[in-house]
Amino acid sequence: MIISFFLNGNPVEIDTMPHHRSVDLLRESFQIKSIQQSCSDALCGTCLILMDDRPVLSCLVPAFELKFKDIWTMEGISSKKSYADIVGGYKSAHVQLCNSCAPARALATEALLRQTLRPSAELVRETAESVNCSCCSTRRVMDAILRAAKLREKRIHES
Amino acid sequence: MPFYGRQNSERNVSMNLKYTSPRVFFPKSISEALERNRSEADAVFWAGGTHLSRYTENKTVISLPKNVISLGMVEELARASRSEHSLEIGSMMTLDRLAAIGRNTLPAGLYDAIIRIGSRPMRCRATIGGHLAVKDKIGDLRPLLQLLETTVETRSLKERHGRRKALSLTRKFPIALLEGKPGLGGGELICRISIPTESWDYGTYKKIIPTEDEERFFIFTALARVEKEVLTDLRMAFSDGYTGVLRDRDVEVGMAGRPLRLNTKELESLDDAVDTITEPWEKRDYEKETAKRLVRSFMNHISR
Ligand SMILES: Cc1cc2nc3c(=O)[nH]c(=O)nc-3n(C[C@H](O)[C@H](O)[C@H](O)COP(=O)(O)OP(=O)(O)OC[C@H]3O[C@@H](n4cnc5c(N)ncnc54)[C@H](O)[C@@H]3O)c2cc1C
Ligand code: FES
Ligand code: FES
Repeated sequence: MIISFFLNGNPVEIDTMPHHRSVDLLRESFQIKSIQQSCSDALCGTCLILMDDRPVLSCLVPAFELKFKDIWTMEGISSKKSYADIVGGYKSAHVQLCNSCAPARALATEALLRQTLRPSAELVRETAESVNCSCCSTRRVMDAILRAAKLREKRIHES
Repeated sequence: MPFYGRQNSERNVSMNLKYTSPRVFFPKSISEALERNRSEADAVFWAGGTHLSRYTENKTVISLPKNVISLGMVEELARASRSEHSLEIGSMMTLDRLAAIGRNTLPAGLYDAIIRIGSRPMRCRATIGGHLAVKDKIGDLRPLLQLLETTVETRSLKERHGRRKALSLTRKFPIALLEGKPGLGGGELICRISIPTESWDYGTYKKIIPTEDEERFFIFTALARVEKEVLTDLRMAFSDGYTGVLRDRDVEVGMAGRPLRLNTKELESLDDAVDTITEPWEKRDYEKETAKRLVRSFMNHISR
């Protein structure tokens, strides 16, 4: 099945099986190594990608679902200037992430910032809980997300 | 000019051996989806796919049925509107979007129930239609939606003998009828869900997971209206995900009109009623006792 979609802002196309897991497809055919496949069961969150601006778990997304979608990964968002807001937010909240969780957390935060810059406490909590990490306190991650939102708002006002 | 991803053909072959590649259809309308379902044997509707794509051990492919009808491009199923008395939602609305639009408008307890389902990225895919259609387990939202008197609208095609065209059937029924027989028929597509938004003075939703086993749980949910310290309307239901949505309308009706707070005798007879309602939970003393405690605590709360 030929599937066309946008990956990090660029049009791409692939001939693959419709039931190919997106996480594997993106890693192996498009060299998107920031996403990781750990549980394959929507539990850990490390395979998180943005699909039409929403955070989704690519281990449960078969390739056919990518058709015509707008997909973003860490490789894409980290090349944008606005990524500095996310880095700044986590840094100023003193949250240090491991390599497995960092891309997923950055993407979950980016998804929230694309949706709103004044998120409700529940939405911030839901974003913080998108990744199942054993070492960071949810409260600290929530703080980092709020700081990132403030930085993004400032950037938008200043531009 | 698109960039072409590289596919490793050797891996493709080995993947194919065990998991056959499905045929996927992308209908653009409800009638096209129904037609496709009629023409392709053993086809399944695919909404968010969170249920259908779970439980495959293979890391590379997802085990899927032979024919998959993706509902993602059927615009009619993604619509939502609000009338004076209800929220009308298309079955393809994701749980995340439902939580977002309903944060301030959904009846008490429903928002809490939604955001307790999986994680946000999972809710960004899972749809309300899929949640209600899953057959082997009762979704967590069902008990409360049932108390709210939610209705479901489905469409299906019925063969007409000797004619090439099938008859389109629309069914609108209370959500409680999804359980048992006839339930949701094969090939029947959930199109719309209508959630009444009339106001309740009190609403609660509790999911209790007594051990580390997430599969062993139970839900208690209740709604109440109180006027001048008199309980005018009470509804309550229990679910353990498998033995049905447990509820006794007679008990609820019997409680209406009682002054609050309930006296000891009334509370004891409510305990007995809860015992009877949760009878299908044989030998699960912890669950039954906790259910009684939760009901008492709700009664206490509405008597303040
Ligand atoms: C990590 C994880 C955690 C979860 N946690 C919970 C939880 O805490 N509580 C809970 O209740 N559930 C939970 N679930 C289950 C979840 O609620 C369901 O997987 C989800 O709601 C199904 O929706 P879907 O759109 O993904 O359905 P799909 O997977 O697309 O479909 C599910 C079934 O419904 C059928 N179907 C889909 N749409 C329609 C339609 N419109 N008409 C007729 N049939 C249809 C499909 O053919 C299929 O049989 C969890 C799932 C995951 C993956
Ligand atoms: S691999 Fe764990 S959620 Fe996808
Ligand atoms: S940051 Fe990776 S496990 Fe906590």
